[in-house]
Amino acid sequence: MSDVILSLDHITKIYGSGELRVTALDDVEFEVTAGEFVAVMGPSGSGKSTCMNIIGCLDVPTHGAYRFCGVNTAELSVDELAMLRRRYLGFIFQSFNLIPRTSAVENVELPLIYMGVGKRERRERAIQALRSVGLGERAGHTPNELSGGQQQRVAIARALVTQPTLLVADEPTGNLDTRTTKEVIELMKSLNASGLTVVMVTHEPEVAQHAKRVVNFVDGRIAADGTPAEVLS
Amino acid sequence: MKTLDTLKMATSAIARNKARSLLTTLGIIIGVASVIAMVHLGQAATVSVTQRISSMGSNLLILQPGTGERGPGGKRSSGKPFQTRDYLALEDELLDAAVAPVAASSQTLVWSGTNYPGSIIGTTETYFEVRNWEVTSGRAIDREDVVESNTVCAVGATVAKEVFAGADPIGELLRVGRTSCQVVGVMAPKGASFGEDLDASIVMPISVVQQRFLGTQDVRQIYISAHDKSAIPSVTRDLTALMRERRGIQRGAQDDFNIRDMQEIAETLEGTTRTLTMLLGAIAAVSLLVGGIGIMNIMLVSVSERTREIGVRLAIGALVRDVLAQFLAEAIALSMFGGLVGVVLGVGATWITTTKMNLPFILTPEVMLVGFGFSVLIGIVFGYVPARKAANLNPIEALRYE
Repeated sequence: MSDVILSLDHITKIYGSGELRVTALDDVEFEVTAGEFVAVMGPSGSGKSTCMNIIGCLDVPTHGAYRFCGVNTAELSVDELAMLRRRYLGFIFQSFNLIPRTSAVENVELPLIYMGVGKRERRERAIQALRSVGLGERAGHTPNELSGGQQQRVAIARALVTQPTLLVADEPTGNLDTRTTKEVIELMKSLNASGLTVVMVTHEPEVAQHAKRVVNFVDGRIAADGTPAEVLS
Repeated sequence: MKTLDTLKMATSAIARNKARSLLTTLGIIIGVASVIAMVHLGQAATVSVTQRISSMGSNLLILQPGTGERGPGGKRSSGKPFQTRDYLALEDELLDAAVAPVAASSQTLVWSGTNYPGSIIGTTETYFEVRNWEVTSGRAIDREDVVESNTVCAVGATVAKEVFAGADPIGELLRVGRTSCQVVGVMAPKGASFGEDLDASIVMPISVVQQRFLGTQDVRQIYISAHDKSAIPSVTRDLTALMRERRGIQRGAQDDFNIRDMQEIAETLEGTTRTLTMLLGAIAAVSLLVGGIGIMNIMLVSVSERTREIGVRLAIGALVRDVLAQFLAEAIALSMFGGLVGVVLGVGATWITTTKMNLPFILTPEVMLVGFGFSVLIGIVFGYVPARKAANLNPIEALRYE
């Protein structure tokens, strides 16, 4: 019996109103349990990004209930959502989004600063997280001194430093070449193997095939949900 | 999030953009510096005016013939001069004041081949007391000199230096016009003020000046020094009554003499310089305001530029107030830095200007504190709008911002 980490219960997300009304998600329903590695796929405009924003507690659904660790996010305030994110979620983005001209270790420390962790503990945990992504030697380097793959690994370290329950990755390999894509995918797989639940948005099948489960979105609905072999074939 | 971390975050953001930060604060720097320099210079001017007036003598009234107002054609109506008996009467009647008459003349001073254009002050022994003027060596003119019309004189510091060129003037015979006169004393340096340079003068008994140089009993002006500040009004009243009576002025007719109250003049001048100081300070404060707008402008640009960064911060768990605090802290740190540099520059400018203008260099901590505090306030006020804008960004849109 595995624990359900998040559940989307008849989720509908509507943007705008009147003529400009867009239904980004239409009655979506699925669950993610602990230890899963889910790739969310679909063409652009299929609703996969909206779905990720809701899963990442950055946005709340228009209808339906999204429960993260049993908490209905619709009932939370902006700051409560922020506290939920910093405690339980780690984010990585397509364009890395590291703070420029700031060393890798300081970037990794950032979430801990917002959590109010003391200086020394912060530094120790940040170095630890950088080591776990194989960048212990690069702690003092600023983003522009690092390759794309290294920057994404720093971003992963930043996501991991709070020991989150869920890693949300938004096109993590979109800006990387084949070699570094493989590097980052391997890292995410090994993190998943050590127990971290991962939800990754991607449009590349060759990236998605590394996941344990693939959810394919078309026009705001789930078109397919299964193992990579089932969905991608 | 801890306050110290917010401050560190703000200062490192500023340090990332050194040139821009410096340019941004330039407005505040100039504003604070000019407020501080203006107010300090104004204060220095006030102090200087007060000092110069009080150096003329304390609680001083100056009695002069003429109405004191300018008549047609801009000439002062002269009025008939006072006589020796007038000042003698004043000495007898004004119990709360010291009275010193002045009969003045200009004569060439000659000693051992040196010529010097000297101004001669003919007066009595009271003059030194009334003008707060002390003797450095020898003695001053005394009552006996006046009564006996002794041809003696006390020389001013400049005269002692220029005419006697290092030699001890005491006991020397100085030729004053056509009269020989024995130097009995050297006066302390007093400095020039209001067109009068006592140091370039020599003091002689009034009787000698009247007999030898003027050939009349005329007295040009009479200095009256009240023994106490509170006695000035009553002395003025008595003086007016006495002079009207002596000069036979009918009831209702205008005085043909005037009394200048130096205290009053000092207060008027002080009030004027104070008003000017406030005006200059206010103008300078406007530039501080402009500096604040500069900070707001750059902070708004900075928020737009760093939209993605703000998105990341919000995504990884920064609260609305964390972002607000960070940007507000940046604005305040900028303005505080500007304020500090401005205070230093303002003090520097004050020092240079006072030195050049021969004004006293006096620093008022309150002024510096207010200038600095005002700059911080500007940072808070003008930093709030950009900080609010940053804090209210939607993380999803901010992350997608190009």
